[in-house]
Amino acid sequence: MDFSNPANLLIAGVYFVVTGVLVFFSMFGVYILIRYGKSSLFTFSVSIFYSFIFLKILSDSYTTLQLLLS
Amino acid sequence: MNKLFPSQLDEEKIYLVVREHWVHLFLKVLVWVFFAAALVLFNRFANQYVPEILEGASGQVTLLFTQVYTLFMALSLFLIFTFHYLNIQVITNIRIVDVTQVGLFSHTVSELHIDKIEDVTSRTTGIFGTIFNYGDVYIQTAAAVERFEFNDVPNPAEIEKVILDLYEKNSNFAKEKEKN
Repeated sequence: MDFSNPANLLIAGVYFVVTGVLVFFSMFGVYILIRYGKSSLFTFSVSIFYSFIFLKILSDSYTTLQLLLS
Repeated sequence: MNKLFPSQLDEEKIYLVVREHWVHLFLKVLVWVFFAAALVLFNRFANQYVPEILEGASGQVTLLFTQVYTLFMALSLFLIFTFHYLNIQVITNIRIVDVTQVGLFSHTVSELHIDKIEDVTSRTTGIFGTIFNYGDVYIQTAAAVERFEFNDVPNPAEIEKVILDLYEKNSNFAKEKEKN
């Protein structure tokens, strides 16, 4: 990624702040669902399914960011 | 044994586990669908009406924006489900427990012993409430927490009946114990 251009730096900064907040809320959401959902198989399944979807989209978006800033 | 609330006893018999009526969950999901539809429509028609924002570097910025928007949509649907799932009211032979999850960082567990109940009221209001049979149940108590509320729960009259039956069973048992 090329950060010499201020526009690239701005795009990367906004991306990391926004996705950082989304990742934090996701992790905390999964944590409370498993903790207060009494670690049942159902809550585990929902959490794993959600985590898989979320990480897949996050990975795709990071690839797009790399292509954009290369 | 999986406990529904922290202080649940092994011998405690659970009569009802109540969550908000599905109509309320449906309305929240409907708002979510509205925002998801905006993304679907954008993907469907952007190529036709504003092809310039999908070409070159601006195309990659647009793709990045739609991916982050999708992340946001996935998170919001997950949180809608989580809050619906974690907000429960439990009625046992000993007490009534209200577990409330307001936001990610606030979890409250309130308990009311059956013998502290003074009055139970059920209320159904509105068109949807009448059609789908959901409403509120208010439990007046003699304890420090004056009123216990179950909001937008299914079959409020049935819940009221279960609570009053348990109260009567409990008070009859106490009277018999006093006689003996």
